[in-house]
Amino acid sequence: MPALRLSDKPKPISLPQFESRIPKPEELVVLSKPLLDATIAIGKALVNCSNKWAIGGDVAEVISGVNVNPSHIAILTTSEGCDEITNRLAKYQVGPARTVERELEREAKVGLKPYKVRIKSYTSRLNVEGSRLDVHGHLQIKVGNWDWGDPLDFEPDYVYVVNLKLPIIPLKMKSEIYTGLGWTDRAIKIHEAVRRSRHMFG
Amino acid sequence: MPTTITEPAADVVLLGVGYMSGVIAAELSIASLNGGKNYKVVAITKGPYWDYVNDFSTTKYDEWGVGLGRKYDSPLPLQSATIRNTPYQFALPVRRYTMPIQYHALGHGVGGAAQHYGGTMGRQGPWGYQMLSQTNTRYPGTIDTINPHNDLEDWPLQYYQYEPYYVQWEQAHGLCGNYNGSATNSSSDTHFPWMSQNYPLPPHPLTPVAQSFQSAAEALGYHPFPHVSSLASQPYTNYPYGVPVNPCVYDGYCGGPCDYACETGAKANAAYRTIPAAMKSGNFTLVVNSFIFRLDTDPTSGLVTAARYYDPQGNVHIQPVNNPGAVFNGMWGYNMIRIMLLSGVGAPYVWNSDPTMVSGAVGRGLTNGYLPYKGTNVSGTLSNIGGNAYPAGNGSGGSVDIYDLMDDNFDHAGLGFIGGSQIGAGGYPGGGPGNITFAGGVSSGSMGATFKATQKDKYLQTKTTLSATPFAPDLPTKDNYVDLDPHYTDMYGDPLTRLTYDWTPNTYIGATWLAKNKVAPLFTQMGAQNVTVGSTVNPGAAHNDWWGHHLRGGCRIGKDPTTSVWNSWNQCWSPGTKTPFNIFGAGEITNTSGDTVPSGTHVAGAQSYRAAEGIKKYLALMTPGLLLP
Amino acid sequence: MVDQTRREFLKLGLAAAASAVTATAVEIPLFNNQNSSMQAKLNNANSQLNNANSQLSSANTQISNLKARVNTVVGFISLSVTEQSLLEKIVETIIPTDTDPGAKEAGVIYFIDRALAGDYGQSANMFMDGPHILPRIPASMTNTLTVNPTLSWANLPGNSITPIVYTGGSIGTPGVGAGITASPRVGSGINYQYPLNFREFWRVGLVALQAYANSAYGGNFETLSSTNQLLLLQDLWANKPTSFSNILPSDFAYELVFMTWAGFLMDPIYGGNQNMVGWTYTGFNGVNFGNFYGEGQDQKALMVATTPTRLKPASLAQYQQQASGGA
Repeated sequence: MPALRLSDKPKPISLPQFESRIPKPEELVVLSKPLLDATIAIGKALVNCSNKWAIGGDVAEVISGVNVNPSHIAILTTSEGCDEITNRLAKYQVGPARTVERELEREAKVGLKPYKVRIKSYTSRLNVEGSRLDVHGHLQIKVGNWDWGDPLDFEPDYVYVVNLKLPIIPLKMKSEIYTGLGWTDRAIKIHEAVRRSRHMFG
Repeated sequence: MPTTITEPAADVVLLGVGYMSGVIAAELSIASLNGGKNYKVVAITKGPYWDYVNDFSTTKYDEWGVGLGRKYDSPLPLQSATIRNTPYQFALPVRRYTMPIQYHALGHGVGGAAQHYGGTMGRQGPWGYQMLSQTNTRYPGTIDTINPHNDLEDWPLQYYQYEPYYVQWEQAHGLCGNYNGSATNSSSDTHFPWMSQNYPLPPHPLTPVAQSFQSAAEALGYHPFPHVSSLASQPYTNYPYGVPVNPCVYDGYCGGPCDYACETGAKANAAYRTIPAAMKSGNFTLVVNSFIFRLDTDPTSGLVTAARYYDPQGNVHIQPVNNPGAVFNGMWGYNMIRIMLLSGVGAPYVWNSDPTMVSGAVGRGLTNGYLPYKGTNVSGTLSNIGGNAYPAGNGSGGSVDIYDLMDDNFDHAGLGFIGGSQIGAGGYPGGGPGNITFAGGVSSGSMGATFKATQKDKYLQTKTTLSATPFAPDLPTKDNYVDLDPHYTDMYGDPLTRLTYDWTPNTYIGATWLAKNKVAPLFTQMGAQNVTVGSTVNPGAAHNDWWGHHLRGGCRIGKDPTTSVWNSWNQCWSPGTKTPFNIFGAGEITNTSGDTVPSGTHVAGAQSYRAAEGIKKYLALMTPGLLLP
Repeated sequence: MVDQTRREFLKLGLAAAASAVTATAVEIPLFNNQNSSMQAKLNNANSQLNNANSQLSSANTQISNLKARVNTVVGFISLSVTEQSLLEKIVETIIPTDTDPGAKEAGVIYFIDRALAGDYGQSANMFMDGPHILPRIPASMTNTLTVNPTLSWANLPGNSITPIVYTGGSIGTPGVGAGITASPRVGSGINYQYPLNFREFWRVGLVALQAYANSAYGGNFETLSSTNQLLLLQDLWANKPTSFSNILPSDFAYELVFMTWAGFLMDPIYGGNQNMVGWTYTGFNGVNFGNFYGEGQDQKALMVATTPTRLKPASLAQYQQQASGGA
């Protein structure tokens, strides 16, 4: 039955209307459920891990509010850490841990010149509940013909997921790495997330 | 020339986009959460979409515009409500927002009222779900004296049945706490709400006052725990939606009497926890600045067939719902009731001066979930603790609570009231520059040099004034209810809501007893000086304040379709001409009994996940109908 | 003796009128090039000098505040000339200037003027529909209230267009007890039921107040002693005036006091709390969370400290300036 509308007031009052732009789905930052579940499984298995470790890669950025779309999970740790972590996640292991060096798809751009980027680490690959996990021990980066960089080392930041306090690579460090590689678009995305996380100054 | 537009039909239509609708939106839009179905979900709100950086970050530190002017909240010229104490009175419209808050400003837009609340949370304990039967067992023959024209009922489910839904709510919204408010935290303990999992985030740092309260509480044999807060204490990614959450920056312009919007998204609400995931699913459509004014129903089946709304140009839109399909009523408080009364959905409550002759359920059982403005207050001075009383911290952190003085956790024989309240102390001060001066309103005493001198360095306190106003639950009666006002309309010409309500004696009799016998000794144990219990509340003095402030009940779930609107699945079973069983609802207004904790939201949150599960079950039925309990 | 008002101290170069002794004492500190005979008089009038010195110090404060204020906000957009002079005295009664700034230095009247010109005065965010029925009508079975329903309510199933009769009454006793309309606390959301927007409310309220000043105290409010000024405002709270432009005096008193304190304490962007004198007085920080001026304090530590830390306040405009300057 259609609604009756009998009004004593023919003339609506004008109300303030706030501008209301609804964001598009691609502007929203959300970690997909499979990666979320895998991250939680990993976090649970690594409670009381005796070696230093942290989530790196795009997952670290997404759970910090950066608008990227991870395809897999990466962990940064020491070589001993790689062994311990692989051991704790043994049931998910795909292949043995070994030292791997490879070239990244995306080049660095330093002073307008392109350079190949290589990374090297003592690494193992796992499949956690359908999601790929790469554990990198002693990760080093090499730009063009320059020397290998020092193994990445840092004090992690933390993000909670359910009751798990997960260590992650600090956004600041990631931003510096991206800037160093000339991947300014990635650095800008991080700055945007940092900007949204606080009022203008502390 | 305004036109009528029919939108494409949806599987699920959400009325309002606040906390409750946000849960339904995420749970039904995301295929992996509903068994792989791609339901088309449409949500409609009268206000805008808010972006916390764009809209709040440069303007929120503004008590005049945000706190007192309520510029981000529901405008009163759009719709208000009328208020009276008894059914014989002419109800007066609320014409302005005031300080102290006498009438709660409704939210406006995505996130709803939770965009500007203080973030207090706290589960209701087992007793709260069985208040009537527990009272009849332990204190037989007393309830009708304690609560004249009693309309108290048990919930249709018990605490342990809501427990898993509480966990879902907490993990989706990132609640902060560390629960050890029960001696045992065992599922067989009926005194305290036990938790299968602790809160997902750690509590906010305790203040020195909170630590003092904690020590005093422990010395008296109580079990203090940090106040539960929905303001994220750490960076968080929620479960199961994967939405990243920024932590609180403790700028203090948060809760208190003024209630501010949050510029980092740390303040949990649908806009920053559930709706982003729904929007990312691809199955969700958000309609903003659109005012729902009717629900269409089918005259044969009685089912809801569409929602009608006005867009900003004044055109009428019809949003049909498929069959099978579901409508979820996520409107705040009495607006949930109002849309159903205007549309003939469910049996309206009809008051009668003979309480045995009342009928209907929509509008029945209204209670207030907060302490009376003029409650019995206990005060005291801690001279060894001072500090900045300026905006700092946030609206629900820093303090410590005990559950030991609520529910049936102490013997009530002969006391003349049931229940009690969560007692706590030590919350961060905060609000705005007028907070301390205005918080109690102004009076004839607020003038002249002597009063001015009391405000000097008011925010630089060298000692702390403790203040607590305990309460016992406000209980449903036949005489407190919601209906439509005969004399005033909203901007579009439809009758406003009318609240007929007065505080029930249980609230202030319990308040007086608790203040004198339990709270005062707590303050004394803390080492407070000049511990003073305010004069006993004169029942007549309490009834003029805080209407509409934190309504609980009025559209309740229950065990009986003649006295409740929703069944145990939050599905409508209240018959109008027919039973519109394709509409579901959850909110503080669907609580069955008076609240036992300050946070009706948390209690409603568990219901929202129950409702989400109910909708999924309903949509999967071979033949649509009422879900069995 | 005529009260020495602050204004007289600010008339630089002019002696205060009333008594020769006092005038002499005041003149001396202001004019340093006095001759030795004046010096002798000064030596014999120590107590008067001490008094003059403290008056000088507060006069100097007000001079610099006024100078600062002249550089910031001046002028009115809503208050009429008579309203300006009346309201100025009212707000100074509510928050007087003593050894610290008061409503005058804070520019409270400018806050009120801007508010009356804007949303507050227009009652923009208020529900202003009729009918307008006042609160506190007593219950009665004979003096009832009859009100027509709206068409939209009347057309709902089960309702009718018949006017509705209200008797008031408590549960179980119609016509006895709770009034036909409720008795709300002044300042609460259902207390204000006038068909006036707030600009009009203030217009009629100020006129009524001035009329009462004349009828009860023998002159315009501005001319009354400060004692009587405060007494008059107390009278409004107590609803002593028997005729007050058809509004309740205590309702107007509430607005006066509320808006005066708002003018003292709200962000300066609204015209009051100039130079943040209200915040300095109360020890409030505005948006300085500990490091706005580089003090290096940590908000998170301050929020759990046991002793207070005084911070120099910062305003919303300063915050926006700093934010856009790049943090």
